[in-house]
Amino acid sequence: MEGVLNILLTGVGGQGIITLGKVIGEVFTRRGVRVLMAETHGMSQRGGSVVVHVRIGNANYPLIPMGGADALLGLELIETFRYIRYASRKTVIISDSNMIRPGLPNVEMPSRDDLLNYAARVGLKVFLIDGRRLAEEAGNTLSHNMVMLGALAASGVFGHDVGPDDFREVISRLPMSDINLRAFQMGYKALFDVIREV
Amino acid sequence: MDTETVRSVVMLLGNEAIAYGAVEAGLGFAAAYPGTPSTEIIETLFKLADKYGFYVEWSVNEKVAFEAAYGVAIGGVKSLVAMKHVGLNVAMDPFTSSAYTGVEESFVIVSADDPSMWSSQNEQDNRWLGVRSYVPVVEAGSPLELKDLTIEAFRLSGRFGHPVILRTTTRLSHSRAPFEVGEVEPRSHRGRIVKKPDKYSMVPAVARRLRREMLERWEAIKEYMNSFKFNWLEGDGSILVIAAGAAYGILKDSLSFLDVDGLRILKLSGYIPMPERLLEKAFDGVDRVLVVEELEPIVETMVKSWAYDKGFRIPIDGKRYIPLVGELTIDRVVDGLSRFLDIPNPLSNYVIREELDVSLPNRPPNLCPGCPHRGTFFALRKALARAGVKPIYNGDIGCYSLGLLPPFRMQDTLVDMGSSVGFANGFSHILGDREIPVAIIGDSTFFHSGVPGLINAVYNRAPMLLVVLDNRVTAMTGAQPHPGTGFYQDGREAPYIDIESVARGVGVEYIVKFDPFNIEDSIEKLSRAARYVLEEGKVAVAIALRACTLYIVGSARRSNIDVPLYAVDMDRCTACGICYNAFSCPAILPLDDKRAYIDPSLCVGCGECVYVCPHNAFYVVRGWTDDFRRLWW
Repeated sequence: MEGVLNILLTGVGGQGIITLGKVIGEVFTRRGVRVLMAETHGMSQRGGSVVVHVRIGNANYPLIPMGGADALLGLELIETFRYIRYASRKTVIISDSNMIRPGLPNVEMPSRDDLLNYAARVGLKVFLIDGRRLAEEAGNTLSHNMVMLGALAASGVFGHDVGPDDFREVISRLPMSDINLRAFQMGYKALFDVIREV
Repeated sequence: MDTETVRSVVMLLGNEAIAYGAVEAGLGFAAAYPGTPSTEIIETLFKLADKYGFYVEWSVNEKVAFEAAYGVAIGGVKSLVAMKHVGLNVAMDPFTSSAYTGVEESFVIVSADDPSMWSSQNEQDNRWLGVRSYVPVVEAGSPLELKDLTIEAFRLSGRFGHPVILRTTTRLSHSRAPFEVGEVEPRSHRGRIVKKPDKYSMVPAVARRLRREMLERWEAIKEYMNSFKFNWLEGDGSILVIAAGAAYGILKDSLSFLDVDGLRILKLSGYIPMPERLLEKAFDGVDRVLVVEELEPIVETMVKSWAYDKGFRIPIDGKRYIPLVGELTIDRVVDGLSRFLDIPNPLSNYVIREELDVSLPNRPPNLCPGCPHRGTFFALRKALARAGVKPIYNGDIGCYSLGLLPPFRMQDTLVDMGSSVGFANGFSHILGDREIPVAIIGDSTFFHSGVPGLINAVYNRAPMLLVVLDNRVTAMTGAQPHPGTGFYQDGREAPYIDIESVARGVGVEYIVKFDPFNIEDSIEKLSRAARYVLEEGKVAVAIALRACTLYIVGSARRSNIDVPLYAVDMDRCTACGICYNAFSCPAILPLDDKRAYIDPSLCVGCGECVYVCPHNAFYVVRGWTDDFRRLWW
């Protein structure tokens, strides 16, 4: 859709995905740009699959159509692929490289290679980041969401008008702001490292 | 949210926007029982109540909340009641009569429906309830309209002295959008109760007259809807698309993908009752009509019926192109419009055609690490086996509904609030040898609608084991307080109503309390209770007493109190898998060699695993401090 930037955020309940969406929302709202955001509440907070839609620009409804995401940011690899139908070949896909085992007995986990091979075969480029490790290095695993936001900001998907300082300003008002700012910075740098390797 | 500045634009959750709108409209009283997706309306109002001088409460159930708010509106004060869609079923009795009596001041009923059933037992479309009960329904065309529409709903209700449904959905209530908020003058909310028994006492003679008066008001509201400011016509052409409620926002975004001219759009946010003059204008010169609405064909049915009477003989479509089941999305509306207009679906160009060929494990919500319900389910199953009892498990609405999933599978029935006890009442009279009905109900649900079922069981001699999972709060919706909590939402002390005393008061003779963190003791107590039911043929009540772990651990982290931690002794672990399969604690994960590992970022140190492990492989890394112990109540 013309003039609307669609960002799909996915992961597991408890990873701070709604907070991540709210930071993006706040950055653009402060600049007078309309943001609509659809959240997953209730049952899905109990370790379930979580997806948050963020639409920046003059959208009238908060849900992104299939194939319509400009960026897909996954905080967990299985969840990134659960919502892969929102991506097209133009989509910037950034995912945490880790898989989290669902809390069910006798779960069969998919193979990471199978997932990545599918992406390569259909022409989707997935940038993998070990966000959980970077969050630990930043000082707290709870800052995982800000690592991933840093990587998303580094991708250039937000355009030239919004820079890392706009995000830093909003993040600095969150709890544990020192750790979160460090996490954002590490994620920002990590994406460049990944791109350089490719 | 910060409202210190005079007028500022902030991102609000749809439910927050409804709350702010209600305050701007002059709200004096609000009541609700929590239920997704409605809960945040009242939570937000609690934060604003002191500042603006209105009253808010969590009521014991939707019927009481409804009657309280309805009474307040009869008493001349603007009121609001909020509930999830199925909550209105609980309040159906007063709801239906409220349209007969009308009210003296604005009375807004927020019905938060759940298309796609994200956290509900059904996807009933409460717009029908407005149609069948003569209560007007208003719906936002996009999340952006929620706050102003709420103000308008109060205005409409006050103008006609008639209740109004503000219908929202999961997507509207749980969307975030920018809203302008600012200061509102606090005002006094004293009632002016004028006694009118000929209007508010519904004996048959009064009710017969009120029914006629209600129909007259309905006609007046129908006329008003023609100029309702959230209804309008836009664009022009010979094809009319009618968009009801949030379908308008979806339609607008869908049209941005389609290259079509010549569409006339009728945007309807107030169409129960249907604004017929506006509809007639929309139909002028049109040769085809498509109704776009979520869930049931309500507008479609009304428009077809009206058009037939008016002599229009043009094709009117709706559910032939727009799905009946599940929430509407841009994809589904683009698909329907493309087929209706007989043009290619443009979205298919973007979507990757080859589907993912790797099977992904489901990730349903799960009981949290350290959840006391896990211990209760684990102990209950073992206890009933030990007692030699064959159970039928009747579950209920709450976090413990998740006991339906593996490994427990201990919710053989689970239908509505209080159904555990109701079903057990029936089963108790038809079960065979050594079979007993077990009713599993939470504390909040017990107060909401478990008590009448328990009274019935004692009175009608229905033997059952009633297990009350008392975690002190309404946990599922985010730890709201209830009559058995001991404090209000804002932390002030509240009267505490003891579940054991309630059970004793209604005549239950066998009551036992257990701590689900102490699994061995829980098995013993539950097993004795089950034997009592079998041998005496009476009701036994077992109360699992442990506060919601999520709530307690949250308090601990906020107060910098150390949360305990356990770990696995790798030399003792035999890789049997009981802890991560049969007990299924999310903090315990299998390593590649199938031995167990505790993720320290997830473990909250409940210690239940110590009882569960037959090999004594779990040990304390960080024990329970006195400060941590004191947080539990």
